[in-house]
Amino acid sequence: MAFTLTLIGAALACGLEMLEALAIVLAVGLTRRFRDALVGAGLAAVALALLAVALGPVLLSRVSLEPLRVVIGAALLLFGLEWLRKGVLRLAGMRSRSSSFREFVEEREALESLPPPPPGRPDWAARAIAFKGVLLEGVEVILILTALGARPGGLAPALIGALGAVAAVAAIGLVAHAPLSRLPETQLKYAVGVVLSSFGVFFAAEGLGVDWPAGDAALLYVAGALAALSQAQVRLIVWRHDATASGAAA
Amino acid sequence: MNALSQLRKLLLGETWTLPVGVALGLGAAALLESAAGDWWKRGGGFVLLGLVAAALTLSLAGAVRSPRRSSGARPTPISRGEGTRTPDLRLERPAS
Repeated sequence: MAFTLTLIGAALACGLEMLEALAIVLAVGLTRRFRDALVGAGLAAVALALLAVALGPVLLSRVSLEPLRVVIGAALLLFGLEWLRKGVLRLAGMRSRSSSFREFVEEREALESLPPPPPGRPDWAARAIAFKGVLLEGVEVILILTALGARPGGLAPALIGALGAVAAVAAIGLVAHAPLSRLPETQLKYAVGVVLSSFGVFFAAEGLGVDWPAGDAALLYVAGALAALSQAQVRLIVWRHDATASGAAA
Repeated sequence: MNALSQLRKLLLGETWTLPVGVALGLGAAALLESAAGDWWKRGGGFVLLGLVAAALTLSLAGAVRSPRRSSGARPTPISRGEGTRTPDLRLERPAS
């Protein structure tokens, strides 16, 4: 159970963040030059790999198991609840929907206003934009994967999920834009919020000495409770808005 | 500075309610664990789940109280819509 949920959580979180990074790299490549976009993205990937190598062993070797579970739980709660909060606001129509495609179009429009890259010389502006985009999206991926992978037995599903997501995003990058524009990113991000928050509650409680009834299957009812609560919040916000709108119209 | 603020937003989120709520929730759970007896082992998880649910609810309280939609927000909630589908605009390389 924990294996499957870790794999799904890692794959979705990694895939969605990488999609946003892909949107930036594609925008830079199409408006400037692909070589500079790939150089910037490659440098960011190296920096992220160094961060992962530094973070993982520190967590695994320096912190004992019980406090580690609380730390992992707190980290997952911070990420998961933020994704969940944004998901509720998006589903309730209080916030614009998540779209890597729109991000791509906006980034491309912004880049088109810049002077063209110097012929035959490195385009440092393009490299910096691709580097920053991939780095910022990637840091969250590294932190989530480290947290999911740091628990006993969590590394394998986290890595399998992440590698699967990277392959899927690379495939989308190759066949390009149509799949990017059709993904239901808002719903997927909401689902990631539920999964990460559930893991957060589960690990943090284990670190604080809790024995969950039904063991790992507790992840399911914790996820169910968080999904039910957040859906209730969506409906409450929509209901309040509709009530306000009809009150103003009357 | 911009990158730093983005990193802070990435780590702590867009609102202080959630990080503060998570910290208070975990702190309260730790206090309860040390004060409570055997019931914590079986029921403590549900207490923590309740505290986390309260933190999420508080972070959304502003949206519930003043439901004014942000500009560019999609007006139809998920229960009535069909998901995210943007026009299939083909991307073309700019003429060099």
